Amino acid sequence: MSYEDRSDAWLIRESFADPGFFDVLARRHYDVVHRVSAYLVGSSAAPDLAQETFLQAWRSRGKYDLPRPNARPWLLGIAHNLALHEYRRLDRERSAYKKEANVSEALEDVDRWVDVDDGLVAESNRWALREALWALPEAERTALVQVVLAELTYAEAAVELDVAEGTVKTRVMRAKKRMREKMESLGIMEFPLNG
Amino acid sequence: MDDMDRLRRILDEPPPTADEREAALAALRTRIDQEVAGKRRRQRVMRVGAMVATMVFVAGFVLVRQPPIGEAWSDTPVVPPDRALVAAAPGACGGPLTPDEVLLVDQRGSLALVLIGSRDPSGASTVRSCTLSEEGVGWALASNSALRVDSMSGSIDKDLSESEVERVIIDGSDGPVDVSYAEGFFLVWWPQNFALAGKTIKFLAADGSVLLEMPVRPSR
Repeated sequence: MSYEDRSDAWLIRESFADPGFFDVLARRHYDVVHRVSAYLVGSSAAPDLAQETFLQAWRSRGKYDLPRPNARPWLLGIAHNLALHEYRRLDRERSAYKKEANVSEALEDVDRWVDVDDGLVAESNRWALREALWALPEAERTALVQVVLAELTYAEAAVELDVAEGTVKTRVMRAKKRMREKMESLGIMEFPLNG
Repeated sequence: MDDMDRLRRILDEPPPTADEREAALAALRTRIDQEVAGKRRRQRVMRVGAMVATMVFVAGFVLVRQPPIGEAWSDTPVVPPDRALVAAAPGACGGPLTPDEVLLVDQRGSLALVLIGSRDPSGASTVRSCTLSEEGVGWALASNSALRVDSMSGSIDKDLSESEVERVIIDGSDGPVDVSYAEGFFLVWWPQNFALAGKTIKFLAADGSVLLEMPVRPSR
């Protein structure tokens, strides 16, 4: 029997009796969680973050608000929180490494170019954007992740973030402005990506 | 392409291949299976531990309002309406009910306090009591000696309803007490290691006024 037409909430509820239903849920959302994880911490750390997200969801599923049929915003919220811890850890390690070896200039020398559809972007710029993302105020970053990166609707994000839809829109607008400014400062806006 | 499309494309990195996805989901399943197995092991340990824990944690009860027992108590417990417990309780508490006895049960999770009292209106004291702990699908006797039965000094001449009592305190502070209400009686639970004797239990209304004060005498 296929459970693909069952809601996420149904799968979560039934997973208490049969953990196999959680497997259906994980399969349903894995790619999105992985993609957003890659946005947040890079592709090398994304698989671990995605797995930890689902494991954390498994452990805390008793707190899931069952009237909400779609668990994607909830899962992305968990991924975001875990990514925040991971980012801070990586940031501390990187800061310590740079301080110890004074390698920042050397790193710039070995920068590589990343093919992004119809143009090239320096890997260092990708990380600079990621850092700009993490530098956003948390409320704005959370809204941006949910709406822009995970492409949820404002209404879905509003339910998960427990704020009014208009508040989500305002936060996303502010976050976009800050990210645009960062992209301009990196010269990315003038890059031949204009489509 | 707008700015945010560009942002996504820059941040975006290759999605997992089908093989990578399957491997990740298989690893997740393994970890969840391990958690489930670990939880079951812990539950088995907890079941055994609960029997010991009840000996320590559960202490006693106080019958606040003392109408003739036969008037307020029922032949079958209302809390909880658990047939297995009802069937097991008298036997676990020293033997089947006699025609003169009635049963009151209060349950806290896997633990139940059973009081068996006399129908005799003049004999408002508890005749027998014990605790029961859930073990597997049935009920097993956890202890028939862990309870300390403290009696109240003086007569209680004021009836309290469940709805008017907002808080129960011990000598001015919240104290380690837990209160439930069943069949016209308030049951006050406290830890075995808490010396309640000599202290005063106060029942407070929502406005803070004292509805009832009850000094506790040492156990007899």
